[in-house]
Amino acid sequence: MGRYFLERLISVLFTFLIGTLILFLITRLSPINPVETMISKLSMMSTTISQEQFESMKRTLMSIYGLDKPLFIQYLSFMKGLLMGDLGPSFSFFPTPVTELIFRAMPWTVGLLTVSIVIAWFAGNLIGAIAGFFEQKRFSKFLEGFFLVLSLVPYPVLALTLMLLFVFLIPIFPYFGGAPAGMIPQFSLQYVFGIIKHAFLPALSLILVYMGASVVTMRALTISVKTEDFTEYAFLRGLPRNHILWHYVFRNSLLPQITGLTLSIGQVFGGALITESIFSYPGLGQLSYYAIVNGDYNLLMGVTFFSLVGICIAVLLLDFIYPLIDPRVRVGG
Amino acid sequence: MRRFLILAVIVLAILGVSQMLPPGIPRNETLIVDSIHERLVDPTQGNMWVPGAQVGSGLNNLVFDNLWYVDHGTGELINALAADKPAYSSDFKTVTIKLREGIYWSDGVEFTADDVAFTINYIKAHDGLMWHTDFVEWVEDAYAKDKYTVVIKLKKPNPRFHYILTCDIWWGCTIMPKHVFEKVEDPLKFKFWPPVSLGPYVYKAHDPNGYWILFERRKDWERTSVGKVAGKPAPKYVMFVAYGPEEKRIAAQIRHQIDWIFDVSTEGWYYLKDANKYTGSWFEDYPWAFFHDPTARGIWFNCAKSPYNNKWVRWALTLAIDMYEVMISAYDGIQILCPTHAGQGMAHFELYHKGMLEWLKNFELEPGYKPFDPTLPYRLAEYAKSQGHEIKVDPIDIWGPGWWKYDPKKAEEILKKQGFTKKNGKWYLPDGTPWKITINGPTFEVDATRLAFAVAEQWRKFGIDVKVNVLEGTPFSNELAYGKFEVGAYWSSNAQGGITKDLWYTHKYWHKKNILPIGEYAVYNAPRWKNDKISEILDQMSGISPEDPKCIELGKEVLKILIEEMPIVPAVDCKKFSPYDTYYWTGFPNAKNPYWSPLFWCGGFKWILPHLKPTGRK
Repeated sequence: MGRYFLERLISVLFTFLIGTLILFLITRLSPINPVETMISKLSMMSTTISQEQFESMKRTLMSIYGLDKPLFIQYLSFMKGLLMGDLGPSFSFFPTPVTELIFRAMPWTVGLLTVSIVIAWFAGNLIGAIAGFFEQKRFSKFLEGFFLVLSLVPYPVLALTLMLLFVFLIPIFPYFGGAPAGMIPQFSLQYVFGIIKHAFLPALSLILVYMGASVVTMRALTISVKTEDFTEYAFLRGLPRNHILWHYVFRNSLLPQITGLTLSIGQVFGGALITESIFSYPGLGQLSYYAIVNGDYNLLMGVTFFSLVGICIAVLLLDFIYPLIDPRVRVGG
Repeated sequence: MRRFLILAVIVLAILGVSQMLPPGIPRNETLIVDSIHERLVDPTQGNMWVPGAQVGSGLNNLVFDNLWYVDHGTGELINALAADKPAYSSDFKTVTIKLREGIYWSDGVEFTADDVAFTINYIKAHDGLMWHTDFVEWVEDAYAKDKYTVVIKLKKPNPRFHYILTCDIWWGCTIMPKHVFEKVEDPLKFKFWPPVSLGPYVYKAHDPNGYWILFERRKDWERTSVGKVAGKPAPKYVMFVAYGPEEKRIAAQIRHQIDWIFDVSTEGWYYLKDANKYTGSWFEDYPWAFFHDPTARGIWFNCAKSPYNNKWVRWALTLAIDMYEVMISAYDGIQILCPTHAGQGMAHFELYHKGMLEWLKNFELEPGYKPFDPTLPYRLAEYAKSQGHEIKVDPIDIWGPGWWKYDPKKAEEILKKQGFTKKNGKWYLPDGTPWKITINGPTFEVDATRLAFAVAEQWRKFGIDVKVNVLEGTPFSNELAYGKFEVGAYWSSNAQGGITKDLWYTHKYWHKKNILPIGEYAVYNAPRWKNDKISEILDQMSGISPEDPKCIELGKEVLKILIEEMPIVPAVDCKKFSPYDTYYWTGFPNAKNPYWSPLFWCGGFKWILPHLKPTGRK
């Protein structure tokens, strides 16, 4: 068992190292030069610099940002900073550290996505299991149809429909932000209610989409498990239906869904760009977008680094938890 | 039942949380405006001298101040922190600046000549700061002659050195508080937050996520340049809010939650004006929008690539555009025509568009062939009337003096002379291959995208295989700067723009010395168009004072050469609707009262605020 855990740990560490190298190379191979982009924007604002001054300014900023050094030295410098917990300054919002920008955005993304995913997962699997267990009932067919349609609706269409209904036509939810405009962050009931109100529509849109997929998958899994020999045997033994549903069918159908949940939670650090854009909600997705369009390598590396860490930890947890949940998964068994 | 009641109370409490302003900030004393660059990703960066600090949301236009501003109407200098215009020695190697007395920083320290001299010397000494390269190139020394007089010794003659210290559109080199920065060792890492203000407002509060930032009028506003020159800024508070996409800003203005919007699309404007009777734009009636943004748009050619390195090809393509159709199909007539390569700032419009009408009419592309069409504004007026709109002024004052003829026959004749052939309605290059054009357009500027598509349609009709390549911000500008593009719907105040009467200020970038090979990043003269004559005129202009009347004549010569050569087809303005809501505030600049442009995101916003008046609505 100990060897199994050690192997998994080494595998994840190796994945992490390869991942950071790939991230570093992908961002550095971008055709966008952050310094040129920045100075070009400044020149559009009618500053008085000449082409020669542009070149001089470019050299200085490349040196300040450490971009004038060979790629290998830049990578070593990045890894050294990583070990010290320093991801460097943002190029487009210099000199603010990347970690400061990320930690400011992260609670909104993690809070929104984790809550949405967990609610959608629980509700979707419960509904899916019931619908699958009673597959011949009329309500089961209705639920299947409803959630199948929901899972196939393109997310932007769903989100924009919610926005149109509850922000423009029946204006009960706000236009933008994670908290009421004008309100300074504070520990008060009003502020908490404000946060819930701002997160409600983005969360609802995510829950509906995740739920659609969960219900459809879980229903199919339940129907499959229901025809397994051990379930048939339970029916023949005359066990109560509820008991069979929750102890025989649901539990066995849940295993692939746990994998999905863990991986989904691991991905929350990547942000939800479309959700954040449509609902103008703060978070890591928008930060990644800023980083990409401005060629801010450090900021993009920072955001994707946390996403990589999240996925690595999720995979590791899954490897550790799986043998405990599923008796069939036995190390060396 | 009890549980249901508790749930109902919580739901109502959540839905009831609705707040736009911090506690204690009355709406009727607050002007709420758009945050042009949307969310402030780093709202606590107050050091405007570090490259990349966000401008447009309070710092450049409320908190910091300049020695001079360019009046958006007349194009003349406004003395702000300076008491007078700069005094140059006869050899243009010394500049003496008299400062206004009685100006104070918001922390109570008096603003003096020491601050100005310190700013110049400090920036010169710190590589990486904005304007560092300017001061290294030009300044020998800057010192305070007395408390209110600054003397700047230049390394070489420059009759326009003061431009560096002037806010023309967005900003210029703003003055640093010496008493703060003299203690700062590394200014690149200093965030200067909250900033000590020299303008009429100070920072009050902000959203950590950058969706809004609030400024409060200084209690001692009369000790600022705006207070002394223009009077008391009317709103006690100014709030910049990032509402997000256009539809949200429109909905917010319908509910009187935002007083001034940066811009909306034509379709958005039609909806907004019908939904909110308090909404206004530049003109009271059709075509409503403000047409005098300092930057104009055009169809840019890469003059380093064949066949666009041939002026006759560029002219043939110009004559193959039916601008009347473009104006109607792309803009519903809500745009201004730009026949010359000047900007559309109000002073430029009078001098270099209307002011060149006679020359434009008489200009001959070839002996006996006059390509200018002065009838276009009148035809657009007829179109407007056919749509039920009333035109009360001379159409030239709305749509400009005209544009270039739609003359496909002449275009065909020109191309055939250059070796092009036309078979079955399709054009072929002189080497026999089909002529294909890719026009770059942006995803983020709807007027430019529409121009790209409308012109593409015109050229397709003419027989060329044209496609439009719509690109995100950085790839769009990189294609231009690296010279990878063929043709594009671009804009820049450094090519076809301007607000000062002195055309050298913006058009110096057409100088041949700015041309770089394809593959190298060119900030200026990105069309890579080389012309010895224009470079000579620009050199001549650089040595004379911008106040010299000869400057305007030479500026017109520059424009004449640009028209003869057409490296860019100047098309329309970067027009703005900039809708304002008169529910809480009135007195916004407009065509009836054009005391300033509606560009509130630029440095001159502070000059608008004393003109606003509260309506008294709560």
